[in-house]
Amino acid sequence: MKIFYLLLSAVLILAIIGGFVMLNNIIELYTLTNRIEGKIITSGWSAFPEVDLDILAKRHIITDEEKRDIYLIKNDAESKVREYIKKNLKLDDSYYPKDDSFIKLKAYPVIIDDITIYNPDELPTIAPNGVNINNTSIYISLQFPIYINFVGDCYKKIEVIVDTKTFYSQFQ
Amino acid sequence: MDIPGTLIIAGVLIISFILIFAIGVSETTPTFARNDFDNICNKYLSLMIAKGGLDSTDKANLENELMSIGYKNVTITAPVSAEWGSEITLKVEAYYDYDTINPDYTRENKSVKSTYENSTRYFGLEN
Repeated sequence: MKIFYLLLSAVLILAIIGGFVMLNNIIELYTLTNRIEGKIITSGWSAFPEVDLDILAKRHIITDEEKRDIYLIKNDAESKVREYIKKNLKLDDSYYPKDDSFIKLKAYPVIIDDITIYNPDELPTIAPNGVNINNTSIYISLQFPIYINFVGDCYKKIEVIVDTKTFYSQFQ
Repeated sequence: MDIPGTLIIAGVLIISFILIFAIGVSETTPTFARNDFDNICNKYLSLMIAKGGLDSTDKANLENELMSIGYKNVTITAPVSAEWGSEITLKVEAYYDYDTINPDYTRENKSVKSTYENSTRYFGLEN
């Protein structure tokens, strides 16, 4: 009978350890997601100097106040976002994490699902993640590889919306 | 004297739970600190995008904020100013010391290095 109780104790201890491992996984996943999200937002901001100067020069003839935001040159802006995602996450040209990347799983690429640039003449609109967009914005959706105990190798999706109003509201 | 089985379970479980809880808490402390570290650095990178760089006061404020959450030996690399549209990089290195408990109940002081490095472009705009 005593052996039964000892075995039961062992099982319960393993369950407690397993629970803590899972809890630790969740905390690490949250921290890693927060870290990558910050880098994606930073990469999105790198596109904002790609202002369409031709439209900027004609802003005085845009009578609708809501449309007098900056216009981005979409192709140039998107290529800058991709360039800085690679730089900040330390990815190679095929989006695989380099040796010095903090993304631990090197065998899988980061997958960029979508980069959509919304200029003022397309607004208001709703982003794929359901968020209302009222200013010049960049929607970025990507997946990064991660190893989770008891689950294995998998992908975690991140969606961010970057715009200048949100950025400047931090300093007002 | 025969010890009741339930007492064995209770004793083993209580000791194990306390040990696992203590190890778990001590090992996750640096993870939470890293989260705060990234958030503080992101804030100062946002400031760089608005101003084009960090002056000595900004760097001192960043260092103080990181030290207030337990980081030491903070090294900050950032431009003071930049041209509009040029690349700006904030690099911060710091060490976080924390106590952990080994399975044999001995305490050990560990130090973990945290590095933040993010690049973007300066686009100070008049809003």
